[in-house]
Amino acid sequence: MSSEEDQGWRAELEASDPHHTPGANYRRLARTLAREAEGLSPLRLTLLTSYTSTFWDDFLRVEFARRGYGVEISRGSFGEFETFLSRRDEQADGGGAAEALVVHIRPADLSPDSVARFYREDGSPSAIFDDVHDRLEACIGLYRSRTGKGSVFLGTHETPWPAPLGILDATNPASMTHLVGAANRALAQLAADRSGVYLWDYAGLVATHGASKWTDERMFALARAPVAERNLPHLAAHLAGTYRAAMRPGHKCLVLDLDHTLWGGAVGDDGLEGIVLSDDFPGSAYKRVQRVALGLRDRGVVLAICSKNDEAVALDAMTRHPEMLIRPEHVAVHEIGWGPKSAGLKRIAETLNIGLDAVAFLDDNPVERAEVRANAPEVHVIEPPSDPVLFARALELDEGFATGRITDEDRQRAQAYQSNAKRDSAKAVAETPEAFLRSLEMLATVGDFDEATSDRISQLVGKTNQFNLTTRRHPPGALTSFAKSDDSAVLWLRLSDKYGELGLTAVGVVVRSDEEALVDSLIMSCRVANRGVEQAMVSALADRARALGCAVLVGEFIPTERNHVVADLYERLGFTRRSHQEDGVERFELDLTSVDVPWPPEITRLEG
Amino acid sequence: MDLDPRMVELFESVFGSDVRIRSVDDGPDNIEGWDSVGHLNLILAVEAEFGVQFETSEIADLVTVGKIQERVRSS
Repeated sequence: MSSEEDQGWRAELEASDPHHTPGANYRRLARTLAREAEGLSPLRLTLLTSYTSTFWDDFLRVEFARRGYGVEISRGSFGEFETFLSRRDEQADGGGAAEALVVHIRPADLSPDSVARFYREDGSPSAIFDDVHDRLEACIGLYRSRTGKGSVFLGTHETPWPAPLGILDATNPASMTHLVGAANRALAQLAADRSGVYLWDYAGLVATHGASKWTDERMFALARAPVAERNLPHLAAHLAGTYRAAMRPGHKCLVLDLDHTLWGGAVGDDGLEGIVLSDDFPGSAYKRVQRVALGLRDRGVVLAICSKNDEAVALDAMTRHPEMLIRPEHVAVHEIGWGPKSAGLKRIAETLNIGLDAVAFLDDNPVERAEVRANAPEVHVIEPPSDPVLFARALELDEGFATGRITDEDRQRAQAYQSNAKRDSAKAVAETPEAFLRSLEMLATVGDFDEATSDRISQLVGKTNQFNLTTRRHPPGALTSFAKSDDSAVLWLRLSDKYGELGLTAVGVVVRSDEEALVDSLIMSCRVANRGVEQAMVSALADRARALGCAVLVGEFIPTERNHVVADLYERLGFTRRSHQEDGVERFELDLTSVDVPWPPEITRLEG
Repeated sequence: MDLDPRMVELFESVFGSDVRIRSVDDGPDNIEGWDSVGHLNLILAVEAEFGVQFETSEIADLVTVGKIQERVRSS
C-alpha cells in the first residue's frame, strides 16, 4: 500500500460523518478498508442478533476504523446464539487480536405474540423478558468458557413503538413500556455483577433517532432487517463508540478556555461587568457550558483553565462575577497568560502528572484549536460548532467522557487534585524531600482483592499507562482467578494523608512459579507518584512472596511509549538486573532470603 | 434501451469499481455481489439516488439493470 492511498482513506474518513455521509460512500470506504487496515488495531467482533444484521458490516467497518479499530466480523445466522457460541472453540484463537461479543435479542423476534398479543389471556407479559435475560446470561457464560478474554456487549430492549396500549401505554404502571425499563435495569445489574460486560444501549440509540423513523418496514418484511438504511451510520457509530468508550481510558482532565467559551465577550476588553453570563440568552449558553463541566467534575474529570488573558483580571472575574459557576477552587490548575496554548496544556498535564492524551480541550477559537492540534497532537481537541448554544452539547456527546462505572475514587478525584495543589505548595517550603513526605502524615492500608475493591482495581489495571510496569490488561475475571488461587495474590494499597483521602491507588499481582515469585503487574495512580508508595507496595509484595514460600522475587518491566518513568523502579529498590532478554521484557531479581525491601518510614501502615 | 450512465455509476458504487455493467440484461447471474443482501442494498441506493420509493411486492422482481431503469423512468 502506498502512503498516498493511505492518506486517501484517512482523509475521506475524516471528511465523513454519520449525519451527512450517504450509504454508498460507506460502502466504498469499507471496500478500501477491507484491503488496507494499516495502523488500525485488529478487533474480532462476533455479532449475534435475533434479526438480520448483515447490512451493518460496511458501516461498522467504517465507524470502527474512525475510532482506530480494524474489525473482522463473524456472526451466527439470525436467531442463533448459544449454539453458535458452543461450537466456536476451534476458531477461538484470534492471533492476538482483541475480541468482543455483541448479543442483541429482541423479544418480538423470538416470539411475535409476546409483543403483538402482550395481554393475551394465557400469557405472562414478563416471561419473554425473563427468557431473554436467561439466554443472555447463558451466552456470557458460554463465551467466557470458550474464549474467555473478550468483552461482551448486551443490547438493551427498545421502548415499544407503537406500544400495546397505544398512546396511553405509559399511564399504566404495569404496561410494556415500564416492563421494558425494568428488564433493562436487570440487564444493567447482570453486567455490573460481571467483569468485562457492558450494555449496548440500542434502546437509547433508537430513541435518539426516533422510533417512528427507525425501521423500513419493507426491509423488515423482505429481509428481517429492522434498521433502515439511513440509520445504519448512526447505529455503527453508536456501537463503535460504545466499544471505544468501554475499552479505552477516558479523558482525565478537561481544559477550558475563558473568553467566548465560559462567558461571552473578552474580560480584558469588556471588563467584569461587560462579560456575558446569565440565565437568559445569550449568557445562558455559557452558563450551561459551566454547568456541564461541573457535572463532569462531579464524576471525576479534573477541570483546568488555559486562557490568553491577564491572570489577575481573569481570576478576579472567576472569583467575583455573580453568575460564575466555575470558581477558582473548582479548577486544579490554570495557565493564564500569553504563550501558546499547546505549551500551557503541556504544563497542565505535567502539573497533574497525567499524559497529554488524557487531556481534552474546549476552546471556541478555531485558530487556538489548530495550534494545539499541530503542536500537542496527543491532546483531544473538541470541535464544537460555531454557535455557543451548542458548546455544552459538544461536551455532553464526547465519547471520551462516557463511563459505565463510578467509583468513590472518581467522585473524590477533583478534590484530591485540589489537595495535590496544596501538597505541592507544602513541598516548596519543606527543607528535604523526606521532611516533606513526613509532613504529609501518610496512612496506608494493604489488602487482598475482593468484591468491594474489584471495580476500582479493574479500573487501575485497565486504564493506567504511566506508572504501570507491565501494562498487562487483565480482565476482572482473570484478577478474580489470581486472587482465588493459592499460588498468586492481588494486593491493593489505600492511601490517605492530612490533606485528605487518596483512595485505592496501587495494585500489585504476584504469582508463584516454583522457587520464584513474579510480580506480574505493578500499577500506581499518578496521584501518588513520588510518595514512597511504590516501595510500600513492593515491600508488601515481597512479604507475600515469602509467605508463598519463595526465595526470589522477580520484577518485570515491559517498556511502552508511556511508562518510561518507572524504567528504573526495581533497581532503585535494590533489585539486580538480570542479563538482557530477547523478548523485550527487562527482568530484575531480589534475593528474599538476604535482602529486604523495607516499608517506607514516611508512611504509617494501618492494619487492613 | 440504452444504459443510463448515472445508473451504471450507481451500480459500481454498490458492488465495487471492479464490477462493469455492460448490458441492460445484466443481473444477479453475472454481477458479482448481486445476491439477496446486495439486491436490497442496490434497491435502497437506487431509491436514494433517484428519489423514488418501490413497493415491497415489486422489489423482488427488479432483477435486471433494465427492469430497474424502466421502473425508475416510469415513476
